[in-house]
Amino acid sequence: MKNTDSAPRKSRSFIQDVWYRFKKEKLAILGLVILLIIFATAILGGFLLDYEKDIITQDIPNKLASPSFQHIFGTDGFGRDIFYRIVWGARYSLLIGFSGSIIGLLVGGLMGAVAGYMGGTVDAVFMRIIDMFIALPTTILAVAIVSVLGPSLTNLIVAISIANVPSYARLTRSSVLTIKDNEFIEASTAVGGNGVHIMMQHILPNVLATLIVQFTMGVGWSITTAAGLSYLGLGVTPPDPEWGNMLSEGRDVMRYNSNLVIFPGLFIMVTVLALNLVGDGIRDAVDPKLKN
Amino acid sequence: MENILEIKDLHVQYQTSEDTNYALNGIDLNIQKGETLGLVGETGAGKTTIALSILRLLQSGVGQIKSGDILFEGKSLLELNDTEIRKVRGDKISMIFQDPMSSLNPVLTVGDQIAEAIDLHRSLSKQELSDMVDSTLELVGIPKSRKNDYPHQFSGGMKQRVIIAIALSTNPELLIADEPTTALDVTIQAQVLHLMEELKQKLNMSMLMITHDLGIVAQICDHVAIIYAGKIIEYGTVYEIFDKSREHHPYTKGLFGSIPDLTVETRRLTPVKGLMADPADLPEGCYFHPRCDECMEICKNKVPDSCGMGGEHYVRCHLFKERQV
Repeated sequence: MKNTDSAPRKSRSFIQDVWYRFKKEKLAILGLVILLIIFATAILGGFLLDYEKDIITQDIPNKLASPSFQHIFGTDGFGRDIFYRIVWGARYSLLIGFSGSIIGLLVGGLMGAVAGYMGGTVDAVFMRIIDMFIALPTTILAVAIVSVLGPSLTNLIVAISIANVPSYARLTRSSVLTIKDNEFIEASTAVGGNGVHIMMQHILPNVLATLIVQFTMGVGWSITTAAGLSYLGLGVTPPDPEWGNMLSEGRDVMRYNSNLVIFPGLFIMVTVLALNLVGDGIRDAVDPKLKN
Repeated sequence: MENILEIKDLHVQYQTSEDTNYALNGIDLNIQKGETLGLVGETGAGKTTIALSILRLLQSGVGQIKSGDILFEGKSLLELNDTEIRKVRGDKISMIFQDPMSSLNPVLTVGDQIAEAIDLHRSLSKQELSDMVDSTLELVGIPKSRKNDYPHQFSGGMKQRVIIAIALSTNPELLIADEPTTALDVTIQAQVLHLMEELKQKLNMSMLMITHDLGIVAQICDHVAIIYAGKIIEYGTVYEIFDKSREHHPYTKGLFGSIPDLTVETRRLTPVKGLMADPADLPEGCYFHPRCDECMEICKNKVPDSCGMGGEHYVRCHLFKERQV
């Protein structure tokens, strides 16, 4: 290795380190770029488009127009510009996807970590609750929650969050269980670390890689599930555009005016794909064993 | 000489759903300031249990200290509450673990892991902390340029050095080394031992060296305690224990009989026959009697007392009873 008196190799923080390795993954960068573009359009769209005028005002004479320079993705059954509606809808989809996953991650992660670390009764109680949720298929669970609370954006986020909790809880718990029995945990106790210290300093960084991957994939899942619920009329309600309910609105005319479903569908697909690419990239980047 | 650590009549049991394992059955042990005590015994004799008991790291609910006391600098470690024992761990008493491969967290840099112990016990600025990490690394002979590397980028011997660095980073008064060299090959073993010996002199700390390798004992220990089935069966200075003209416990003789001697021509080594006593089902009387060649009637029902053999040498065996003062 290097000689003794050379200065320490450039010191990088954890985040810098991850970014350095992430940069090398071409596909992950592609995913990230796509995601940023979608984010940027969603944010810009909020400023440039007028909800009343561009999004919900109907223009029946112009209905079901094919893509043209004026309406690049064509118009829907009420003559509204599909591109504008997709841009506006991105705000809903991203909001639901990310907030649902973040809440699911925090609640599920905390439950799983506590259950795994404490073990015993706490573990049993928490995990039986989680098992109850797992017993129901997630989509059905979300449907049930929305039907009880009524369709609205907030309730949809609540439903998606709850549906997300079990997978994070189980994943975190099992990771914590494998990490907890390592000798380095005992070693940390032996230098005087308490439970919280060990959790934050030693267990969390080890679990993080798995959680981040699950999170990025989970956002994709949340977006598709939210779209599915909206498609069923249980999510964002018309006339607000959401990718899922745009699919639902285009369903009747799909045969002759396929642009009504193709474009929202394409956006769902590309967003989820981009998220998965980023997830893979992060997984490789946070694992120092793959570092070369 | 002042004792830094005194273990008095320590009994430890491991309670499982099926049975009770009597791991330690009345250990009496003293470590003097600045000396190295070697604790020798075969697998399962209770060596690691002693180390874990000192730091109160026995698995809660399973390992229980039944009776006895452990005094560190005259104060009982068993009476400390959780916060107080955490202040002792890593600061006053450090431990080197057996397996360097699994004692380091794979996702943290070695620098961070050395900083951990210092950070937990001293309030230092970032710069001071980083300087201390540098100097600790250099103390164990690792260039400080490698502090931002991860454990998997180190070889086994280097990892063990890192672990030693972690243990030494806070200048502990007592270092417990639990078979620090078992996972290493012989050349690296020699290096690590040499290093530990050097550091011990430099930092003037006491050391409890747990091992089953008599070579290591001869190399770095001042006193030796030989443990069998949770009891110290022989204790003395390293010269007394290795002195062949003295009389020894039959088990100690067996241990020495199983080391190759370059000066004598033999075809085979002589092992101690039989297996370690089952701690869940200890024999009556002397725990060693079923394996002992010189077993007498009294050994089968009476637990032997410790007999002084002159100097600091003590043996716990009925053979020497008559000489007891």
